[in-house]
Amino acid sequence: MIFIPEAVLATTFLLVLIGDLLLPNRHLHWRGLLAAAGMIVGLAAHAGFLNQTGTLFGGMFVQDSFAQLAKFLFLTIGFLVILMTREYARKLEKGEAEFYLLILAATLGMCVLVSSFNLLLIFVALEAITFSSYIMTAYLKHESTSTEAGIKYLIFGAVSTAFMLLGISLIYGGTGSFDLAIVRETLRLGTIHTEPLMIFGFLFLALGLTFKMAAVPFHLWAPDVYQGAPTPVTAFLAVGSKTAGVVLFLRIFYQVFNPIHANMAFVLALLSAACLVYANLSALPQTNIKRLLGYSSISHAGYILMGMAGTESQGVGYILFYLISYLFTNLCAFFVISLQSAHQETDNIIDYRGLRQRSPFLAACLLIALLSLTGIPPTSGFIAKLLLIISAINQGYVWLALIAIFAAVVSVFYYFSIAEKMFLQDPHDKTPLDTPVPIRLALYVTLFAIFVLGAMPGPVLAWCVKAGASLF
Amino acid sequence: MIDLTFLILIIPVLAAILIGFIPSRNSGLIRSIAWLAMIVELAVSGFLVYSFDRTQTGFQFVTEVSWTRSPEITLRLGVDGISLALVMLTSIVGFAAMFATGAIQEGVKGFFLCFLALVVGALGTFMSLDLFFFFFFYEIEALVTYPLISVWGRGDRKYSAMQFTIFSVLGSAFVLIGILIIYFLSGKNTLSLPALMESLRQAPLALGLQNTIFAVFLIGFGILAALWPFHAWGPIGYADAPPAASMMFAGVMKKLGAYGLIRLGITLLPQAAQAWMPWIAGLAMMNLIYVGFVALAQKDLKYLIGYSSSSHMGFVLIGLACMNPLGLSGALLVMFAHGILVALLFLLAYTLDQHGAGSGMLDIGGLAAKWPVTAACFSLAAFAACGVPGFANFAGEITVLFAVWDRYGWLAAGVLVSVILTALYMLRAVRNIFFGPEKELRHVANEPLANPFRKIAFVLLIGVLLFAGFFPNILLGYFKQ
Repeated sequence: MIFIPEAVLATTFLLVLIGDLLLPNRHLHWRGLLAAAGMIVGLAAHAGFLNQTGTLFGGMFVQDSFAQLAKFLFLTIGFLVILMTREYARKLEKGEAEFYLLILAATLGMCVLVSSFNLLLIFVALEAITFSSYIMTAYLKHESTSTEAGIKYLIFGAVSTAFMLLGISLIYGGTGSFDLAIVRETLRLGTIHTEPLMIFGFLFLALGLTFKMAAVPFHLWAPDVYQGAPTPVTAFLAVGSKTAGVVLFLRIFYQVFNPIHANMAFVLALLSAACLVYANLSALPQTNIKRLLGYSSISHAGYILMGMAGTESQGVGYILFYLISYLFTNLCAFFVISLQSAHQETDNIIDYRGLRQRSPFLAACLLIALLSLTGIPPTSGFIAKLLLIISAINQGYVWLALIAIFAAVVSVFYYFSIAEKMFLQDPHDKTPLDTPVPIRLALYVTLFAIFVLGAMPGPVLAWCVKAGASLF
Repeated sequence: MIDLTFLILIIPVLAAILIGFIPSRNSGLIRSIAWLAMIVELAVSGFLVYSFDRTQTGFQFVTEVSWTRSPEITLRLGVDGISLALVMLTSIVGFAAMFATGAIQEGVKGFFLCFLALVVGALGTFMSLDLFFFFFFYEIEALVTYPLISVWGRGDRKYSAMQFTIFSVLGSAFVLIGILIIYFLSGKNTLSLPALMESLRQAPLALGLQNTIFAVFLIGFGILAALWPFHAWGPIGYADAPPAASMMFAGVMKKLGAYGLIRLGITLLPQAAQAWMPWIAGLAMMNLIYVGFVALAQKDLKYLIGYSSSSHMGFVLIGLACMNPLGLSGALLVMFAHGILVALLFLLAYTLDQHGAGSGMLDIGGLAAKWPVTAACFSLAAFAACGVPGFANFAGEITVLFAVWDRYGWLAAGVLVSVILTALYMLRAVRNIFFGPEKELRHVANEPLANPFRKIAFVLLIGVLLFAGFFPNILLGYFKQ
């Protein structure tokens, strides 16, 4: 049963779909619970079958410890985003069930993606994620920002997909196969990895993936889409889509294209520097918190690319650790933002004034998330950034490490201007902001993760390094 | 291996976690937990001092907890005589500072979380035997100053908070650069302090390189220790911070700079230290005299205490600059004594403030008749600051004086000038506040009156000063290096 999470997700998908058709209207709130329960069952089943690894379908589908770790991340993201959606769904006029269905479908796509070992399957899984995301982004039909975000996302997605397909076809042309095992052997045995055909194949594939990661050069969609999409969708794109992109990147380039990756690492270092400089400087004047987090997401992609510029197996572990830290930190922030935007109908940073007086708990949560995004001890963001900087220095990219440190210093200004508004200014409207129980629990989970990862990174980091080593 | 040092570090952490789970409306319970933590902390630190083996040199109570295996980062804690004294100082000042937290009525939970983080940061920095954690804990300490001043402070608190935090973080940034250079140049792939000490003793770095690194450390730690010309950022923060925080900032945090110079500068880079010492002596002289004159010009009691504390850091730094055992002992003694004294002074200033006297020294007078105990305690503290024999400050300052005479000759006269300046401004403060014609109090007492138990803190702090003053050998016995 090495595909148990996928099986559970597909079953949940069908159950929610059928339940939506059959259940009477007054039982509609069961749909969200069912979707959330599906994620939990998936997590539990996945944990239960952790000792089973292997391949399926003639090597197209691989379950190794890398895929297992990534699936834990995807299911956790799916679960938390569904919780967030349940509170947000009151804003939706209709089509709540379809929303859950899209999240389930995208999560399923991610789980398949990380296990695929065939370029065609990878493409199909990627499109499953991307198409679900297009629809979710444009879900608020009556809001022009949401529609605009959807169209921008679609256009950028289509262009990047074209790049990716071009890359895939070049690779197919060079090796004669979609099967990554064969591609790997061909690359390893001959000298084909020095040929322009394969190098361009690699580069086009990498560029296509920067779209999913929200990294330069396909980063332009991020701020607009983050701002316009419904908040849970923004959260899903920020953590889920990015994690999927990064994980696929690690899988393809470290496991298969290792020889080309080693030669082309400087391109990734340059992209990383571009992300860090561009995102941190552009984030400074932002006034909308979701847009700000869009730039912050590009900046985090920069840190991750900095890790990818290295070629050693530990670096993969550090990137996975960064993803885990980033996931909990960002979801913590987005829970607060989704409550605030449901309550005040606005995402302007200025409306976070005096949040401490309206809800000390939410203000504290957002503060901790901001500390972790900045990378301040004892939160997980600190150790996560530190590991990537250490790995960059070990690989000889001292200049990149300096840029990263500089970027972290700049980020203090825009993250802390939010904190300053929350804690030191008086609110415009003093109505207290309630935290529903599920959100409160979810926030406790994220806070727990942020502090445990920050104070005792040892076990999780060891797990990540082990998972990273399974790619080599 | 877990030892007492780990226990000392974990007590406030556990208290903070516990407080984190208590709803903020139970402020009484939160207060009690913080009190309990600081009392236990004091007791355990006392036990640590009791069980410390004075006949040995090197680090004792070494705890090693692996943090991450790849890269190898380990939480290494341990104390030698120097850090032992500073851990004790932190516990005493932390305990005494609890007596000044009564006035915090709003955001109690957040305040105690920040306060405990401050204590953890200080203890962690003093006990870390790993440069990574040295920096880690220092950074916690530096950052938590911002919320403490900006949320619970007074006056133009946002401005002071920003200035205070920027300087502390700037100092730590230089320290980080120095640590990174050492890490990459030592080539040992370790940040463990004992291992670095050993490897650098066997194969010291080239002198030019050492000089550069030492300069970076000198700027970083000099900012923290209020070395002239970085002396002016502290007093504004102390004046606007909540009193408990001012006590920790001036009493403990400022000592971190001097401690770092000893631990990282002098121990790891001894040759560069020799080369830089005359410069430090000159700058410390500026602290003693120039900043002493600045203190003389103050009209506000809190600024007076703040500048006087910056000025007295000159004793510590010039003691270090002598580079002989006598100077080092004197510097450590002054560090300890001055930490206690400045906490006592801030507590007294706060008591006056809370009773409605404010802190403008020209607006008040003749308070001795009204508040004899406060007057007596303040006078004792002022005597201690002037270096009256019997107090630990005298023992430390005279040791430094001898050491300076030994090494720099007539520069010792400058040290004496500073003692005279201290006597001038301290005794003038006593005269203005407590004697002379009684003036109408401008401020109306709107805060609850000081808890009578606060006298415990006065007695404790003065008692420690007198004890260490009469028996300095007990304290000096720990400083075997």
